Amino acid sequence: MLLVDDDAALRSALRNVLDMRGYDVLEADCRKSALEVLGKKEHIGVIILDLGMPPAVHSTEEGLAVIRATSELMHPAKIIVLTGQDEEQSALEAIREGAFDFLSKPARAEDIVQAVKRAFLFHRNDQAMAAEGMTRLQLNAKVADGLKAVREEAEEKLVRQVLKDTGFNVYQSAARLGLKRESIYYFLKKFEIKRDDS
Amino acid sequence: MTTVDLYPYLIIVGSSILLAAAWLLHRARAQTQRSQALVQLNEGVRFDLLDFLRQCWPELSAGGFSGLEWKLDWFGASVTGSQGAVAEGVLHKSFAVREIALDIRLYHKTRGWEQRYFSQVLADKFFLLLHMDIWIKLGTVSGAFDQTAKMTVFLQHDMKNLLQLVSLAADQLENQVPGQEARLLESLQTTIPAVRDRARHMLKALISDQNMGQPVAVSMAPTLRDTATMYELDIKIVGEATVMVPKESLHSILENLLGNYSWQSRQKSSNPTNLQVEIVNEADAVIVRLMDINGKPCLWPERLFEPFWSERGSGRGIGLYQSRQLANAAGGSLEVNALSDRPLQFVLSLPSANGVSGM
Repeated sequence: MLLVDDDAALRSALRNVLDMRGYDVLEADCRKSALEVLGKKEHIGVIILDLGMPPAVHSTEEGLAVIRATSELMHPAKIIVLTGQDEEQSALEAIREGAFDFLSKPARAEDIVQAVKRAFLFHRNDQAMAAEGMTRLQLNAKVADGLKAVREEAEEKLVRQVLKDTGFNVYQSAARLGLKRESIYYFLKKFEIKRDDS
Repeated sequence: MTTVDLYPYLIIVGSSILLAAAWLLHRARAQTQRSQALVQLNEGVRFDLLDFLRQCWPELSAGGFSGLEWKLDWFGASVTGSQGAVAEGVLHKSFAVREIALDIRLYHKTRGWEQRYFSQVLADKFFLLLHMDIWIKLGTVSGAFDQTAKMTVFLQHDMKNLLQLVSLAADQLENQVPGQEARLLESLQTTIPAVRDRARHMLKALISDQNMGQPVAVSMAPTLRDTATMYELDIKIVGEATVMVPKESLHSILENLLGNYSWQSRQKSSNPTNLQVEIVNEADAVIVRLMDINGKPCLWPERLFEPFWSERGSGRGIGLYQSRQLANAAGGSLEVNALSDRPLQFVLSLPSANGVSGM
């Protein structure tokens, strides 16, 4: 798992709590270092994330950017937000961006551990689903936009996910999705998907 | 009747006009002096409406009024006052702004029209001062609340982190994992000193923002480069010099300056922030000129150093104000060059250290 917090002392204390319970913990102190770790470590299952980090320690910008980037990377990690920011507002924003859980500082060690356990459970479940050829998609849809917008977002996410899983192999992706290769090329063009994006 | 026969009359008329003009001039000067006295009194009571109302009567009385009555709703409390005597002629005014409402009556002494005219002029100035005092009071109250609210948010953030640290330490002690006692002790050896340092830091911040330590020699270019890296800003530095300032002050100044550029950079979709910095030695001072060459002209340069004014909602609005205070306290200055057709340029001047390296 990955701990992302700019407060070194807090990171260290939290790491100790989790280490003692047998978790393998990596650390990052800002958005940039967090994304570097995530880019290299595909197997990270859970991220504990502070929202307020440099250079905007008193706003949620940086933390939300990490959630968005994780989602764009199609990284399977479950994100638990642990923050001292204004609770209601930041919880809503974090969940909207795709966070799995939200804890307010100060949180009890036991609550954090329970949240981590839950997140790992869901992560394992997702992995098992993936092994069976299923994937979980999160869609933020406005009802007013209608079904077409939802369908297109779902299509895009699914195509991106499968392309990522197959290492951008069009032939395999088409086979997994039960489509012709031409259809995959059509989606690549439609959603402007490039190899680096997947 | 010849023209010569008219001379005595003309002299009488002319003298009368002259006397009347001299008298009116005298009255006007007297009223001007009373107006100024009211302004001075208002400044003397520091624009406090209640004190001003209670102390203004001698000047008003000398200015031709027979009586004063006022009723004030002062943040929910009702206060009244009266001086002198009620008369027939009255000047009435009411002000109501947010939590302050004032109803005031000034009574004329029964005198001629010219007296009433001069009294009216004095009354208008008096009412203007009262209205101004109301706005000053409300502005002060509102500013203080805004400041407190913002400080509370910032302190809450630090307090929550501190409490989280303490909470984790306490939880670990209460729910020890069997066989991990040595690990727990090791963890507490890191956590507890961190808690102590954090609490000290917060206390220091609460007591004084200016207590920034002793001046030391600091190289400007690497410090600027490190700060820019932290904020992920592109920076080009020309020149180098060593300044003699409290290190924390310099870090705070640069973090505030570059932090603002970082925020602006995140708002822009095109033309990323490109900071050009020039460092030069001038006599005993080091001058640092800083500009985003892709920036736009500043629309409100006059507000840049105004405390508690912020372009961004999440800001405290004291960054640049505090930076200027820190630069001044260190024996330097922080100025801004703002032109309507080019990006803003900050000019930071700091004391030069001995053994300065040149450009």
